[in-house]
Amino acid sequence: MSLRLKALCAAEGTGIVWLGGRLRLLRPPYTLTNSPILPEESIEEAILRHGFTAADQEFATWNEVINFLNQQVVEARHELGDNIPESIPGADIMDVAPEEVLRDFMDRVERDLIPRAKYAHAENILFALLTSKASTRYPILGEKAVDLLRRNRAACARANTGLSELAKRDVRFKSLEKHGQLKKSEKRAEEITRWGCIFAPCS
Amino acid sequence: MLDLFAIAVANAPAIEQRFQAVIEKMPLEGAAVVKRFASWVEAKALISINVQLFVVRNILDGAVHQNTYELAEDRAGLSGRNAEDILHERLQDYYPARIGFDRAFTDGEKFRYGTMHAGGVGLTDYGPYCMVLTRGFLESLNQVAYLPGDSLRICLRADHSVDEDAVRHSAAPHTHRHIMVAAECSTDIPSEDEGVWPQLLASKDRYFEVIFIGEVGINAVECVYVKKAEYAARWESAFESFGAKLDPASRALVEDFVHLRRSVVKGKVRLEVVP
Repeated sequence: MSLRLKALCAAEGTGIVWLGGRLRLLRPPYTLTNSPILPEESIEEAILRHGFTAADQEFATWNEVINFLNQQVVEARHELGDNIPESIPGADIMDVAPEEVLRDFMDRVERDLIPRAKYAHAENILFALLTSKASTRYPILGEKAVDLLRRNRAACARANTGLSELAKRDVRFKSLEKHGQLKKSEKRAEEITRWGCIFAPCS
Repeated sequence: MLDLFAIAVANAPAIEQRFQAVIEKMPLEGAAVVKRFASWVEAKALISINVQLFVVRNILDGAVHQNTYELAEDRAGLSGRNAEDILHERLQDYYPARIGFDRAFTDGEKFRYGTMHAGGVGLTDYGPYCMVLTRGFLESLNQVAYLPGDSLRICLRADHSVDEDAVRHSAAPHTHRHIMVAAECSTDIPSEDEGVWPQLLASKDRYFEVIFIGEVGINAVECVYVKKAEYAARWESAFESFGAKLDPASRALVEDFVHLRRSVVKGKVRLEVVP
């Protein structure tokens, strides 16, 4: 596979990549669904109207292109005196989120994160909401966040207790727990149960 | 050197004649729709510029929109390199076309390119954020010309020289922009569904280009339009940022997006999310 970067917007980490007779726009967060196929002639428009820089660089894998684009963003922003922060403060995100987005975040914490044992992810979101102005602006959501935080912590505690109990019953689990591999092993066991065999499906 | 804006002004009688000719050939009912459409364009159409999110952020921070030459000058100032070399490097094979058009006109390097806009998100493939400029800004412009499409396709020959006849035929002044658009769209205007009229001004298939000279800062921005999918993607990245460290490019986008949203909350700019 040969990927050819034809143009890029360094400050935004956006690239236009030519692969197998197709032009694809590669933009953060660099997922396939976020990378539309574009008509070949549109590259001219990107360069002549939208400030993209022409390029002609070959890469062996998507990861190489993505790493290159990430590096370009860092350099371009640094050149403009605007260094990219290591993280975005959660409360800053919550402060500017409209109510429907916050409600969606809360729903996803309840529906996805807690059931999937993503306790840290859930806690970060809930804590950010509760320490932001959003909790006073939308008191009902604030109350929901408090409730979810309680449920998340309870679920986390239950999971940890369960794991510890399991570890006490079998010396092999103690070793897994000691090396921080217990959760991973538990997840793998669930997958094997689901697949009905120890091999992952091919597709 | 050619004066694009003087050419556009001089072209007004010819545009008027073409419009009348189109109207006269149509049945009365159809002519009425075209006239109504022309009035709608005159009343509603503004200028939009589709840009990347970091450009919106810079403008919110007090910077002004930069065209290709201003960008090269800016980079030259930062790096100490020659602006012309930077232009060559950025445009490569497309350098002759850009230079061929712009440098054929007086003040061509000051040209800013926009699109006529009366709704929607404009041309989003490479510029997902559509900045719509205020009517006050539009009315204040002394140097503005309208073309029925991409100037480089309409007015540039294969050898990258400007086709003067094409410019003289196509360019419309501000006073005649609506009838130029109406004449161009006359066969495509649906009488029943006015909701699709904005798409006649700017879609993937056709747009009307606006070339103007003027400084675009935050005070010139009426509103920023963004597609729902882009808006949702940025919130999705923000959501993910609570669970794991994002890569630098995604982090930069989330930071810019938070900045934009903060400006919206403070009432500094209006953000419209459209399907």
